[in-house]
Amino acid sequence: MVRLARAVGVAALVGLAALGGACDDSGTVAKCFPGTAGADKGAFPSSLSAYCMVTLQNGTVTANDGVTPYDLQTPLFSDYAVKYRTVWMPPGTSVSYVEGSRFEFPVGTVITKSFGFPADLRDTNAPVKWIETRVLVHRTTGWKGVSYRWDDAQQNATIEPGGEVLDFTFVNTNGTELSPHYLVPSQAECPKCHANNGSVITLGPWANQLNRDFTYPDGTKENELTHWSRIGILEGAPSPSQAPVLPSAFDPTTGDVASRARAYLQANCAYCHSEGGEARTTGLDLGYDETGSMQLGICKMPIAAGKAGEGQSYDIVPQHPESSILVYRMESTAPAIAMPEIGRSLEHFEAVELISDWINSMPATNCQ
Amino acid sequence: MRGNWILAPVALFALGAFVACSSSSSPGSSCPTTSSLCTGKGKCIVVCPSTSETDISGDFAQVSTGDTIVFEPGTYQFNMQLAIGAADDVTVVGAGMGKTILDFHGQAQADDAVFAQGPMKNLTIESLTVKDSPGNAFKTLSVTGMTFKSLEVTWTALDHTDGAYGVYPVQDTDVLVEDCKISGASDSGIYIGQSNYIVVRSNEAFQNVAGIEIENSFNADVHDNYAHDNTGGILVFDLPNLPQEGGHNVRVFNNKIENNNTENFAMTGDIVSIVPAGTGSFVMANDHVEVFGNTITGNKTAGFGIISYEVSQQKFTDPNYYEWPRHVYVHDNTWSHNGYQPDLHSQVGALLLTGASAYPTPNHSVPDVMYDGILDPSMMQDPSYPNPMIICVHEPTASAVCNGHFDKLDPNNPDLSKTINCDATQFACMLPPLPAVSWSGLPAQ
Repeated sequence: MVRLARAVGVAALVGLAALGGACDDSGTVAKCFPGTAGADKGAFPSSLSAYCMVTLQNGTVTANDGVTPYDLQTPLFSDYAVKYRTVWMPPGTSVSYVEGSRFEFPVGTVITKSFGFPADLRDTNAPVKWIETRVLVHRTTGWKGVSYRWDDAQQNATIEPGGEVLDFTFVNTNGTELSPHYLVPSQAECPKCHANNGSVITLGPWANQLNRDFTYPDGTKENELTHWSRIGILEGAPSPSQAPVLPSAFDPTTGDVASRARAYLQANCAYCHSEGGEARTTGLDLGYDETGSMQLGICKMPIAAGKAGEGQSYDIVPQHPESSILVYRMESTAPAIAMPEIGRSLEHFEAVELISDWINSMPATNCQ
Repeated sequence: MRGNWILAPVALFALGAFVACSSSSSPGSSCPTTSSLCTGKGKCIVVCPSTSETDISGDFAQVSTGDTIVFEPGTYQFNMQLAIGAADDVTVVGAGMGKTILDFHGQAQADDAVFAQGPMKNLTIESLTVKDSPGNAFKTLSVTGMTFKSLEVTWTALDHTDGAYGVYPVQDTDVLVEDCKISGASDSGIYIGQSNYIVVRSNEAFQNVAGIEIENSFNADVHDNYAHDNTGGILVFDLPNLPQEGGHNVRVFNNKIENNNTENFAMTGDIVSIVPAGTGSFVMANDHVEVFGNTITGNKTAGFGIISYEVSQQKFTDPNYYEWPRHVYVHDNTWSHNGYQPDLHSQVGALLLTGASAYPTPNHSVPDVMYDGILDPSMMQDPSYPNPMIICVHEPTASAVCNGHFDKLDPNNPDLSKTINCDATQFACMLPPLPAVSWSGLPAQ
């Protein structure tokens, strides 16, 4: 079935030019195939349906035929949004396995990430209101992204290059009501996170993030690296047991507090706080492989950080989360203080606890 | 626009009144389609106060090479940042400061009001006001040919809730900040960080914690500015643990640096929170700095300091960092009424007061030029070569020119009166003038 879909995709690519407009209007399944909107040049289509990557029906987003859904070990926190990720590569192409860095996808690849909110996070069956689907297209000139906003009727998602802030409420797992100022990012905000040394990049698909089981639409459970290899979109991957695994930040069976804290920082901070990231100007590097204690913020003065702390002098003071700017900025929801800079308007309580536990577990150090 | 969205979970799916988002970036109907300010080679997009925030943000995001975005006069409210897409030769222009006002007091996310991230060339932002942004007003990263012209940035709270930086180019090249008026920044009004080839001229910076900062930057001319009523007027320094270090070749000349006596209102974790109120200007840990032709007056703690990072009393571990000032030439400035009342909220201010009895100045005010005398230990402190860092001062009109010899202070009982040496001949040297900063495309003033 997958092969068939991919073969159809080839046919679609041949008819690329003609298809763009047809897809744009109705997203008719018969005329629309993944990747047709991933044309190398020109404007993005006005409707998400043109990509034929995902379908939203009855509150559920699903990947279209030939499109691979995936999940990550430790995702980015986005105000408790639920997310659904998909990837599609042009027929006949694949991505090469690499460790310790992001996968470099072939030109033509389309990645989507849909963001939604259940009314009540305590109810796993609660319907999800989908807000937006962000699309990244790999053109010959590089990746380019934009968000599509789902309408209230959950029928169509329309391009929104300017983004917006949405205020609403939902109920958290502990029963409290939360009110995010949820940000649909503008197109120019994509590189706030998705940029390294001036190039737009993908963030999630690393070997250690994908080395996990996923339940596919047909109900089978399979390791994502294995699955990607089996359907021919990943080349050169070792068996999962030979590949690295990033701990899942909130699953204690996947690692100790330190490694899970570092996994969280990798997914939520390191896209900026790393060499080539936007926060390279700060000297704070929160990548999973960083070993320098100063780079990790231990007893590091905040420099060129603007509003760094309120009484705190160091990014991390071992055994003193209350004196650590890292925690202060994770707790804050005030713009200009809150970290990350965009995409989080609520405190991620579980993460603050995890990072605090990590700081408490460090050997005592006098930073003075 | 901020959607009047779901107010209660039960209404999650019931609320149909939500307005579908527009994908059009065409301005509102009352908005003209062109403007006399449309001078670029690309498209010209005119926006009005009636244009939706989403549409304006979309226009910013989708700019192409040579485009101009024109803001008609009026007040615009924003609840998100305006991020400029990476394109060359883009101009954002308003009707003038105080006429086009972008008000960000309702901004819900992000650290900057107006933000651009290159690599991109020749971005110009001019003739508008940004008001009350929770974070920085303008931040630009990796832009070559960055011009900020005739911008006003204001904050009304004048406390630590104000944004950190007014104009904040970082890791930019060929930066011009000209004719801007910046006030209320809780860190620095004009902050040049880790950049190269910089001209900051004819700006007014007041009621900020720092008026103008040149930090970890190379080749800067700071001239004809009016820095007044800040906590500190014009600060040139280098900090450790940053990708670009070794700040050098900075000229500070023909500025008016007056009455910078505003109480420090930076957040306490911020490095500028240690600057004493009443600081005219200082150079910290830079190489090749020339300071001349300025009028430095009425700054109650001190007129001018030449100091090492050690004075900040901050620990650091950075083998690449050089913490001592060297090749500093201060000459032919005009001085009056500085150092009359050091800020005792500040450790440095309190230390300066300990020297009062030894100051050879009227009313024992803090000398106009004060060098901390802390030397790179690798430099031989040979008595026959007393000025190894090559600190040269020619200031016949200064109240005094002194070496505080902070290196000789008793750490348990620091008393400057026991260490200070105000013999001006120790600084009797000259350095060749630094070259003017220029680049292809820098407009004549």
